[in-house]
Parts: sequence; C-alpha cells; structure tokens
Amino acid sequence: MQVARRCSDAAMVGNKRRTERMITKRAFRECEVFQALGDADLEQLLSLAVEREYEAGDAIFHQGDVAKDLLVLQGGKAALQMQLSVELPRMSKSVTVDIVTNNDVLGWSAIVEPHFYTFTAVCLQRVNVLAIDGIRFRALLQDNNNIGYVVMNGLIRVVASRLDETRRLLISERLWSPKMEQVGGSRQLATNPAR
Amino acid sequence: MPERNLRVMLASEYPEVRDLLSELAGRERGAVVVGQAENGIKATALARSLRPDVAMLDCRLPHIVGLDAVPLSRMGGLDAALTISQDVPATRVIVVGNLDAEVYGEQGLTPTLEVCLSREAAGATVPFMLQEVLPETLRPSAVVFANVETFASAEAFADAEAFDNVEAREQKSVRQRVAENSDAGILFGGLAIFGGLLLIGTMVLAIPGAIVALAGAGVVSLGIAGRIAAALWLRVSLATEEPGAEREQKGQGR
Repeated sequence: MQVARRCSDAAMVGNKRRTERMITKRAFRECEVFQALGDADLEQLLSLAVEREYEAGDAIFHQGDVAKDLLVLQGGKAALQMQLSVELPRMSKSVTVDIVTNNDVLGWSAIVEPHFYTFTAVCLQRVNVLAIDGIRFRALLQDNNNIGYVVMNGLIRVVASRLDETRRLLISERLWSPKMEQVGGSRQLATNPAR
Repeated sequence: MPERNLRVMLASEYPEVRDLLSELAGRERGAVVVGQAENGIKATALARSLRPDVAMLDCRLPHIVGLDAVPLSRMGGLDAALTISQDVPATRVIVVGNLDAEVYGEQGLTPTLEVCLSREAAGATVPFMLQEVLPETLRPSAVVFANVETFASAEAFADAEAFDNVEAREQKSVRQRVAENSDAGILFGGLAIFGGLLLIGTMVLAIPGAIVALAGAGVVSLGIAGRIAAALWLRVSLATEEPGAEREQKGQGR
C-alpha cells in the first residue's frame, strides 16, 4: 500500500500547533459516540485525551499513517480526502469524500483494524480536537465492557449515517441530469429510480 | 507592494454569496470580477480559460449540483481549489470556509453591515486584502484558507474585536486603511496640481515681464547712447567753430 505523505503538493500553508488544555466531560457528552456514557466512564476517558489545535490548511493526519488517535472535533471544519491511485489530467489527486464539523468523530481507524488512517484530514478552518490515545483506548474498551459496548454502538451509528449519505450521493450523481426538477427553490434527489 | 489591477473569479452555489464575494473584491483598487461559477466543474473550466489573478471559492461548492437531501453533495470547494492551483499556478486560490450557517444564519441569507476577509497565520486571525496574497507574495500554488468576518455595526468593525490577535486589533481596519490611503492620495495629488499651476503661472507671467524688462533695458541703453552721441556732437561742433570766433573778435578790437 503506497503511503501518501502529503495531501497535495499544490495545497497547504500553515503550521501545526498543539496546545494542551483542560478537557471537560461536557466535551465528550456533546459527541454522539460518547453521549450514553456515565460520569464514571467519562472520567476514565478524560485521562486518555488531550486537546490539540490546528490551523487552516494543516493536515491533522495523512492517509496511510499509523492511526494513533481517535479524534473528536470541538470546533472548526475539516475535509476528509482520499488520494487517487492514479494521476488524472486536469484533476487534483485528492478528492474530498466528507466534511466533518463540530462534535464529529474522525480517525476511528485508531480502534478499528488494521489501524491505518484511510483518509487525509485537512483543516478548512482553525480546528480544535480532542485526541484520544488509540492504544490505551483499545485497552480500555477491552477491559470495560460497558464502555466498549456504548462506544462501538455509537461508532456504528456514525458509520451507518456516513454510509447512507455516501450512497445517496452516489445515486444522485448517477441519476443527475440537467432536467432534474427544482422543487421549492432547492434541488432534491429524484425519487423515481426508473428515470 | 505596489497595487495593480486584479482579475478576480468567484465560485459559490448561491447568488447572494457571489454578490458578497464580489463586494469584497470590489473594495480592492483596480479589481474587476471577470467570471462567476456555481459549481466545481464550471469553476475549474472558468479558471483555465480566464486565468484570473485570484479565484475565491466557497468551500461548500457542489461538484455538479447541490442537493438538500444529500449534504455530501456540497463538498467540492477544496477539490476545485486544488485543481485550479495545480492547473493554473499563476492564480492565487482562496477557499472561504464559513460561507454557510456560521455567517448567514439558518434563517437564510441576511445582509451584514461590515465584512472583511481574514486568514489564520501563526496562531492569529489577520484581516487581509487580495493584493497581499497574490502569487508573488506567497509560495506558488499555495491555497489560502480564509474566513469572512462579519460585524454587526460599523463601530464593531472599527474596533475589530473579532480578531483574537493583539497586533491585528491594533492594526487599522481594512476600511480605515483604504480610506486613509485615499485621503493621502487626494492631499498629495492636490498639492502637486497646485504646485504645477503655480509653476506654469510663474512661467506665463515671467515671459511678458522679461519682455518688459528687456524693453526697458533697451530704452535705457538708447538713452545712454543718445546722451553720449549728443555729447560727442557738441564737442565736435565746438571744436570746428572756435577759429572763426577768434578772427571776428580781433577784427572788432582795431
């Protein structure tokens, strides 16, 4: 597997800055994956997390890197990009497949094998993240069945939601035509697959 | 850095956003919007054909068309930016990251009193003008990630409290800098025009004055010459009349 070290040679400006600040349970409660955890469980999670800050243009992690941390976005916006395996003319080698915003989780490869990031995360704005150490978190999930079940349940909901959106996008692009109807000032996905 | 004409291209799905970006570009001296696009495909094609100096793209630009039921359909802005920066290296590409609910609110697009572009650099949020990020001022093919800063009032804009950097707050606001540059330009231009008129007037007035002076000098010279001539004539006249005068006087004395 070819390791892509940079999101794009044509892209980024900015330096990565890391600051550690006090993290509160509230930050985890607002994330869908950790919402159902109790206070005691959140206390254990707090000890595994550090807060980091990245500037616009920074790459939080690169596709193919070892997935060290599971990340929760606290503010800002980041684009998840996949590197194309071939270079196409007149087209960037990186394609955006998702945009994550406040309270979204990214980098779940830190707890899912084979523990390599499958995307590159590029900051579109200044971003604050909670970075949860992957190795210690996996150990916690194994040792504490309750935390393990709640977290994996929440993660599956997130993954399912993303999968659903991606499928809808795929369908819409296949069905799209210049004659797609405009309804109420906004363009909606055509519901008749026979068109 | 000397200012020069700017050819600017805009890309956003929404006409109101394009109007806002057009207004921001219009504040630059000599800037002209040469093209607008509503999706990523058109934006890249337009950039290749127009080769603008600056391309401002909404980060939530649809690749082809945006669908409300499919939020992921509006994530082509960065891709278009990277493609343009790769295909047209001379174009400075700016991706604006907050042209959605963060700026306009969920109710819809509402006008704001004051806006400016800002970017993050070395931990600070700094306002900037398009001239400052032209290709020769930054690494070629680098994409600039920017935000639109909005202010609820002119006073807030002047205070620039939205910027979290002390130096940025102490900097003059974009509008103040533009206004002061204009005032200084008008003042120095006026002084230059006045000085030029004064010089021309002096030259215009000096010419007849010189003529009069020359004429006067000529008259004086003629007068002096005439005086000298008269004196010489008198001398010569006296010299020729003296022997005749003496014989007459001797004849009268026998």
